[in-house]
Amino acid sequence: MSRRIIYLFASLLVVLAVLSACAAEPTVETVQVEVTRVVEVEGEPIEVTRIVEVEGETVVEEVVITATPEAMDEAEEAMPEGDTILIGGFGPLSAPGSYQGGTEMRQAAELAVDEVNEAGGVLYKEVELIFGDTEGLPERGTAVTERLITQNNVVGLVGEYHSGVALTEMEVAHKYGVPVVFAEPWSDDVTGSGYDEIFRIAPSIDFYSSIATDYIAEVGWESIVFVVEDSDYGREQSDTWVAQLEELGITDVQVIFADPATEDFTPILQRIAQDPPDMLAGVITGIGNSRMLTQACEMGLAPTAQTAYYASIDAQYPEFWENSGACGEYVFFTYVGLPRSQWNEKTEAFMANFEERYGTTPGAPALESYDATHMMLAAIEQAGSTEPAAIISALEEMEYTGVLGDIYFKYGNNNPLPDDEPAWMWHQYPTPSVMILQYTAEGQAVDEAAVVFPAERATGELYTAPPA
Amino acid sequence: MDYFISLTITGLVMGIIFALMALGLTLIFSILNVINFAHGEFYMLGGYAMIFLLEAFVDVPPILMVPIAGILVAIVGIVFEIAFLRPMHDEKIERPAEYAVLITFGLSFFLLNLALAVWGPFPHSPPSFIGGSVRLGPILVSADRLVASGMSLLLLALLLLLINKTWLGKALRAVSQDKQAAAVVGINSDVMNTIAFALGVGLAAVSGALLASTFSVTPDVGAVPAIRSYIIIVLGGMGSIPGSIVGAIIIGLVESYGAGYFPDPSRALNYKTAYGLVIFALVLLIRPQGLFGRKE
Repeated sequence: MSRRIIYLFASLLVVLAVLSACAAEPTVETVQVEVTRVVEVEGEPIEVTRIVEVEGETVVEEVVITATPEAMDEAEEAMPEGDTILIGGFGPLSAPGSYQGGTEMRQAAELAVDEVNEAGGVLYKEVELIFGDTEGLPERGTAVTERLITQNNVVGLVGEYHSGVALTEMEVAHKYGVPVVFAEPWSDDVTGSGYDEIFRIAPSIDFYSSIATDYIAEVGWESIVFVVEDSDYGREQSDTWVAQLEELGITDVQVIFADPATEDFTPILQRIAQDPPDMLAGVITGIGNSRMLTQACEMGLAPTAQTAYYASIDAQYPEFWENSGACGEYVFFTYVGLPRSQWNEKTEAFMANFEERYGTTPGAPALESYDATHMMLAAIEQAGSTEPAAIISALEEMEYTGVLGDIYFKYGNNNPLPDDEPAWMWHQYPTPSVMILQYTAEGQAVDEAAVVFPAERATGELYTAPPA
Repeated sequence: MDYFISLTITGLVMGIIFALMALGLTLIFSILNVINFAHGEFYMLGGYAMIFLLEAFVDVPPILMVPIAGILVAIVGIVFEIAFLRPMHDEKIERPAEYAVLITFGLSFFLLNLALAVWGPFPHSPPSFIGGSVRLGPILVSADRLVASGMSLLLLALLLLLINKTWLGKALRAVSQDKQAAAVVGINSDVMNTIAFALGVGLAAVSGALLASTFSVTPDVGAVPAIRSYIIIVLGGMGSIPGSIVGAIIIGLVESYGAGYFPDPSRALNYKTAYGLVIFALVLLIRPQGLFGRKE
């Protein structure tokens, strides 16, 4: 082929390429942002919409852009980066913490996260839970919270079982401005701190204790001995009980402190047996709960016709019967949760799913952890953002129906705490379900135990004493 | 008076059981010259072995499983001793004292976390030996505790018989006094070390098995008994078998009287461990080698 023909052919190709380039219309790829919130730009509310990649499929549509560039930028900034939203959980998964409670809290939180992911995640992103073991130690709680926030970059925190640990964790969360929904710690100082970041769905000690003291007064017991664990929770709990009982006119109250790891309570029980009280309380979380009950029972001190026995909340767990045996019959304890007769659909589903997945009946801490996790994720979804202020605002305004019933926070920035309300009512679920249950048969499941107080929820006698 | 008697009975019953575990530690120290910092974990393993055996052999009386639990854990001890402690005595380790501390601490962490992984954190309890209570004078005592105490007395007696009246006991004592001299007369110190370690951890395991139904079992259940055992063997005199027994009974009684008579009842139970430590400190001030220990 001659050189001229080649040059002619090449020139024709160049001309054709230039003409093509000039004629081509640029591909306008428009995306829509799903409306998550209304953005204000220069005082004007603008709806921001966008379609994002969902499960690997990109949707491209030619649509009218309904947002100004400024609104798009603001929405982009508010949307979390990456493909995952990280939330942190904390609780005791090993000794000396109450690992029973902590373990079921972690299990419930994982169940909640899996359910949310199966439903499409939050803000179209997968949620990942990172759960830290605080061992029931305040210094570990501080370290775990620091790590979750600064290294794992979680956008919210849920859980915790021990009040003493929660009091240190909340300081770290407050320092970094990360919102927390506490599931189980009862210390009044948790929400009494007034920190914007701190929310709680568990009852406060003040509220929780009043159920037990009102019950004691109702039954008519006059001499009470509390053996409580020597911890922040135990000390605050005993102080509250003593004060509340005094207001009710019950002054023959003795408090004895015990290390949660105490093996042998017999010497102190023999001391108590010199003048048996109407009611003996063993308020020790973990293994101490069963140890003290069994030893009091074996020496004939309680539960007897003369002396009733009030156990810690660990009595709700199936392991209680393995470790206490027949001594557990007639024991009563305070329970946080809905009575079976008031279970809603979510409660039924949660109880069934938890048992199927983990092979055990969940206790109150599991229900609280489950609701706390769902509330945190719902708040992020509602806020359309992982910005702390937006999540906090969403939590304050939230009315959530969970396994514990209808949960809301009565007082917050949107509804300031009045002077005549206690400080712990800040960001506090005001009406948690707290009641007294009594076992009336050995091996009874917690949801079969008689609800004995308050009267409006009672399913059994006020108190059933062992035979003389 | 009844109150004093009841506290005394409680203290004696527990002291005898403490003695069994402390004796194991003493044996290991006197023969191998090693403080076994995993002693509490062998106690814990004894408890879990008891639970496992009673689940596997449902119809067998629990008391018969106690020595078997001890033997199973002793086998674990034998494996550990041969693998990790024998090199120390064969002069393959440069700093044997420090090595022994580190290796037994390491074993402690390993066993504790292994138990956590295998059995989980929740407390478990085997069926009772007898169940119920027995009246002893003014008080009701747990029948299981009496069984544990009785079994401990029996084992202590058998151990003293072994140490004092058998060839094996003589060989063990010979090794504890002078390894080289023992070797000269044909005693294999490596074998004696292994036997002593197995006996020692076996006694700890038997203690754990005896108390499993009374105190339940968790991965960390051995921590408090271990600390108590260290106090007892120093109080009684390092390496002294009679010292361990007497020391254990003293600690059992002191803890009982302390909790029973401390002026402030709200603190009485909290300071339970401290009472034994106070006695421990006083004795060492007067007699640094312990009650039955030999002066250097």
